[in-house]
Parts: sequence; structure tokens; C-alpha cells
Amino acid sequence: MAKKQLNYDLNATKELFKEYLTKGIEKKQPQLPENTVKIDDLTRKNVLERLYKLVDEVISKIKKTGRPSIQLPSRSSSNIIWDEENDLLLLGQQLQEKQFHTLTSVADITRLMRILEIINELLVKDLHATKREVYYTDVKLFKEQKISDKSIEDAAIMLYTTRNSTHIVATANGTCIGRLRIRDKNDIIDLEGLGSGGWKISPFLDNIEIIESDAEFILAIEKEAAMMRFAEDRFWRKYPCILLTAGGVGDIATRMFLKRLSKELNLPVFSLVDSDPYGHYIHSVYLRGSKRLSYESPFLATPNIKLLGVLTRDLDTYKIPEVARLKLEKVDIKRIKDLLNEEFVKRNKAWEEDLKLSLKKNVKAEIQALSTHGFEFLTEKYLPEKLTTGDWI
Amino acid sequence: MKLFYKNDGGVIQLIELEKIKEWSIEMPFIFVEYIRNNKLRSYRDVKVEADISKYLNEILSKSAIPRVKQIFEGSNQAEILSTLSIFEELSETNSRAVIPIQNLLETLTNQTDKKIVSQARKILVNIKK
Repeated sequence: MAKKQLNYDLNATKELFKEYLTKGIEKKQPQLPENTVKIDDLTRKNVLERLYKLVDEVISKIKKTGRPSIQLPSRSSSNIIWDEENDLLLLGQQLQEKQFHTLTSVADITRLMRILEIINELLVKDLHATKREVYYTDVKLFKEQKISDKSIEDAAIMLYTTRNSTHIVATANGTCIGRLRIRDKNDIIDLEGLGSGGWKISPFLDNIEIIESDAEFILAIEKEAAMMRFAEDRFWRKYPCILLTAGGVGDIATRMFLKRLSKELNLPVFSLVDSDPYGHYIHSVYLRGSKRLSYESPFLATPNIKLLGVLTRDLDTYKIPEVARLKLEKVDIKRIKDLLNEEFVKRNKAWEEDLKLSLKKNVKAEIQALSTHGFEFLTEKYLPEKLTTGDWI
Repeated sequence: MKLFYKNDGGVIQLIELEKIKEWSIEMPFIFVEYIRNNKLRSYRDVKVEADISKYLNEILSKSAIPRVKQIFEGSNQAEILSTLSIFEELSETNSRAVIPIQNLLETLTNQTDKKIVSQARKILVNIKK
């Protein structure tokens, strides 16, 4: 018997897209609170100017006092501020001082100066390096990569710029596929024509430019496995969209690329994550940034992203059988309680309710639980229906 | 982005001319050729196809061609030669992209500098292949 094809017009999503096109998602840079640190996304020339100014100041201090030091914004958790108006995690104005002449900070500052030297070389030569490569430039000095990574982040914040502006990049894990054409220097890449694997998001995003798209929404997917389902079904052909996954928590390049897509194309963005606290956390990182990189939040966060699913309430709505549902573990319960204590969750009643429902019912589920209704249920019924009715948080 | 609205409610977004002006000299030609030959028909909307075609012509006439013309009509021989070698390389893999500067190349073949004439002719041959 022929399978009945359901048709969805994605009405609610189209209306949201129209609204964004009329009003613009983020026309202006958000006005950040006065008690936060302002970080700029800079050109090569401007980063070099800041770097030389900073070094000049150190030299001047050496000449004047013989006891140079540098100040940089503290990245401790007590200095992370939630900006309610812009819904972003930002860095406050607490400063920490690193002195060249004390035993406690001499190693730290030597590493920092070495990183500045590397940044200078990369910018002058217009090259990029990964964090791993930077670590290997001086293994004896850095000892472990997590130490060089910390110095890299300190150096960026010391220059009041994004890490990408320093040309030190993290390896990117994300992939993207769908109705989008981009330019990578002189190459045009068609993200519909790369087979099921899609385009591996480049960490060198300053070389990438969006040149054409007829997409109407973006879907940020938690898992590679779910992405494969969409790719195999060529979901974007029936429903004009761009699909993106980082295979877990969004790395910098993936989040930055998502933000750029959303901002430049004014597209609605939805996240599709597991119905568990980790999935909700992944959504929250796309939404407002992570605490560790709070200083870069304005360049990484996508404040308009909607949590499309899988919501706890969906498990009943879509009659997910008991066998596909899992009980919460201790760690899940702790994570849900932590999320419920976050101001940004408290302010979003629908989100709060869904998390509380998960606690009350003691239930979680993976995206793949939808496959209990068939492999195509996710792409042919669940998503199109939710995108049509506007059933998102 | 520059927006083009389809009758069926779809929207095509293309990069704005102002951004294209910052590209390398050959890139606008690559872009126009790409959209014209790979995307235009896929939009399946006669009016949008006409509007986008008009926009692509505008990119060529207002920015891409005048940039090349300024160099070719200038007195800096080294710059003319380096620009020609960029377009020669492009014409070997994507000769259609170079067609919009065919008239400028033909004019160059009347120059007295043998190197310039030879390189311009090579590109013209690639176009006619």
C-alpha cells in the first residue's frame, strides 16, 4: 500500500522569517551594560596596533619603575555577569594584575608574552594556527596544552578582542549542509552539492563569506546521527533550510558561523537536541554563550534561537512508548536543578515548565526515540508539524 | 544581503554589491558566472530570474568591468600584465567567467607592448575554445 504523504506549509516558521526580514534580527550591535568589558572583533591591522601599544606600555613601565606588570580582565566565575537585556553572559570589569618580577606570576607572564609573540608572527604573515600548533611551538614552556590554551584566552582578553581576531583558532568539529552558497577566498562552495557529509565548518571563518541562500530557517542539531537522517532524506530540498551540527556542544567556529548565518540572512534558528538536561545545556550555549568564553558571547551567541525539541511534553504528544524513554540519573537531576536556578531559564516560563515536567515525570529521551514510529517520522512528521504549528520554546 | 521575493513566498538572498566591491578583481566575474549558470534556473520564477539577471549585470557594469577597464586603460604596464595573468589563469578553467571583458581584451590586442598583446590573445583564444 502506498504511504500517505503529509504536506506541511511551515506556516509559523515562514511568519517568523517574514517578521525577521521586516524588523531585522540584530540590526545594531547590542548596547552592553557599563559594568562589562567591551570586546571587539578586529582587523589584522587593528590587533597589531593594540598589541604594539600594549608592549610599548610594558617597556615604558620597565624604564620608569623597573617593576613592570600588566592588567587584564579577570575570567573567574565571580566576574561573569548575565546581561538580562541582551540575554548574554558577559565579563565584568574586575581586573587581575600579572607582575613580571614575582615568582608566582613569572612563568605565567612568560607564557603570555610568548603567545603575544606568536600572535604577532601570525598577523604579520597573515597566517592562522590552531591551539594545538601553538602548544607545539614551545612544549617546554607550556608543558600542557590546557596551559597554552589558557594563555591564548588571556592574550585575547588582554587585547580586548576575540580569539579569532588573533588568528589562533580551535579545530572545528561542525558540519553544515543545505540551501547555502559560500565563498572561501576564490572558491564558491555549494552546500547542497557535497553529498551526505556536508561542508566541514572552517575554523578560518574570516576567509568565509555568505554569497547566496534561499533557505527559510536554520536547524542546529545536537547529534551527527540525527544529521545523517536529514542528509539521507535531503530534508532541505523539501523544506528550504540550512542544517548544522557540532556533534555535541557547539565549538567556537560552529557557534560563530551559526551566528553569522542568522544575523546576515535574518533566518529563524531552531535547535533539535535530546530531551535531557545536556541537550538543554547545548541549546543554552548556542543561545547565550558559555561561561568560559563569556567575553566572546556577543560574537558567538544566537539570542533568537528557539528550542524546537525534543521537549519533554513532546514525549506524550507524539506518543513515545515507554521502552524508548529513560529514567533520569542523579547527574541529570542535578543538571536540571542547576539549569532551573539560572536566571535565563527562570525568565523563560515555557522552558522552566518543560524542565520541571522532566523532573516530575522522571523522564528523558534521545532524538532517536522518535524512530520508534519509523525512520522517517523525524523528517516527515515531527519536525514539519512543529515548524508549521510553531510548537517551540 | 539583497533580497528577491518569489511568487510562491520564497526568498532569494544574494550578497550586496558593496561587499562585492571589496573582492579580488576576478572574483565578481566568478560569482556572476556561477549564479547565472548554476542557480538562476533553479529559482523557478520568471520575474525573480529577470530581477537577479539585472542585478548580475549591475555588478558587472557598475563595479567588476570598470575596475578592469581602469587598469587596462592605465599606464601601469606591470599592473596590466599581472591582471592579465590572473584572467588568463581563470580563462583556462572557467572561460565563461571572462566573457564580460572580451571587448576590453580585444582593445588590448591593439597595444604596442608585445607581452600584453600576447597575453590578451591567449585569453581570447580560451574564450573561443
